[in-house]
Amino acid sequence: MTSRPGEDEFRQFVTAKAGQLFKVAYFICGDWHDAQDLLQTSLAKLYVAWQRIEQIEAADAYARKVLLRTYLSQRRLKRSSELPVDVHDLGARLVDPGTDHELHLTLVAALRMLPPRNRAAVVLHYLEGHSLAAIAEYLGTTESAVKSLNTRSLRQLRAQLGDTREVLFQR
Amino acid sequence: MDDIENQLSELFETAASRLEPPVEDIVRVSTQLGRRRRARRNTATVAAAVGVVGLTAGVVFSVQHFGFGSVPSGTVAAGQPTADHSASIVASPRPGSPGSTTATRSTTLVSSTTSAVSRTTGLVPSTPESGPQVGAPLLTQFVSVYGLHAVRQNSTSIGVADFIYDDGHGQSEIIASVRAYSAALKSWNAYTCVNFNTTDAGSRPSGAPIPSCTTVSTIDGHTEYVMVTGDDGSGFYDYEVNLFTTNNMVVSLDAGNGVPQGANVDVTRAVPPLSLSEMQAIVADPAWLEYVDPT
Repeated sequence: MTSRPGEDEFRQFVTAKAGQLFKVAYFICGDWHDAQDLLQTSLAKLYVAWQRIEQIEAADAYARKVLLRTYLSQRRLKRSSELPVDVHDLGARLVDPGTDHELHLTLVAALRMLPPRNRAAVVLHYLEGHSLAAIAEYLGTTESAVKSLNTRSLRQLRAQLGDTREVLFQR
Repeated sequence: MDDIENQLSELFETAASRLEPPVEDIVRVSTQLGRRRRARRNTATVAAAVGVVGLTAGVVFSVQHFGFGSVPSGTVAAGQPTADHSASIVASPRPGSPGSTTATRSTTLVSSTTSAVSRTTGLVPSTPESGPQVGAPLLTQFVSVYGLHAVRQNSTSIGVADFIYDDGHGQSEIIASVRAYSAALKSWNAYTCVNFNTTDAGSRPSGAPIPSCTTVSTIDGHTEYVMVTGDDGSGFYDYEVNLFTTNNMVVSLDAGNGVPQGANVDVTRAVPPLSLSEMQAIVADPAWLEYVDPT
């Protein structure tokens, strides 16, 4: 099939970046298939905007921005099952260090207890190493707001992971 | 010393290293979806241009999107087809711009009218399970007053009703939901103006209002959040009205300027087919609170 103008460059970009973007999508969605859907949808949006993007760095930032915007869309969150579990559900979903030794499942289970926006901030900061200022830019908010999100998220994760953390680090 | 920050970074690094993303599939599918999306966008642009020409020529005289709206002036009997309703609909000046919520509202009048619709339909569910089945015709009754007809129902309903509607100027997905405002929802300030993002991810259609979120106190003592959302990167955005009732329920209505379909979005129009004031009137109907949140 003949490529459209700019399509080869787009495919090269996606080939190079999809792996890392998928990891971001996976940890914020908490589900493999949801992550793939989210990323493909976001990259399809990037495809449409591709010819307006001149630098690869801009494409990288744009892809993340669209990924997060698509993820945090209230319409999508209302439709999906990604709402954080309610307080009365926590007992059934608490991480069990005795039976759940799959590291990524443990982490995903703990992340799922965070509200979507907190989850996104945590993933961007601790998986990708973005600064709080950069995360604020992605989320369309202030640095102090992200700092507050981060503090609350850490408090919650500390409580959720509890002793599991020590078990995980002994593996 | 609690070292969770360092541990988290290490946990992420280790967990991420074990993932094997399906890169080839992602490249292939996102390229295909992108092509389709671009083609749809081009089609929508042409359609919008034709629509503007038609409006300029005066072909369409009842224009919701340029300062005039349809407000029902009397009680609408249940079960009547849309065409019959049109006789009781009068065009009246719409206060403010499409995104405006500060001007005088006709909510009370409209609300009492639409309440009559629901009362006369007798559409009161007795169990949570009956909600979607009963809510769908109720929403259809409400929006038909404004000249919209159902094209199809979405299979992935998230509330009491999730439909594609058309008013002849482009299809739109409209979703109504009613739920208890749980602790989980409250924890991330869902449905409110807190954390509302006022920037667009991409470029919105020409003529679309800018993103905004306004808090309104209703005469019934409820709080309402009235939003024009940011564009999602493909030109799609929503009007949203979320009514928080004094008994901790939230009645939410979303109307888009197109139809999201999985990874694709058909952006069909510059603005959604209902104005914000019309949506405020619809969510104000007490009939929604007959539904019990099954979650």
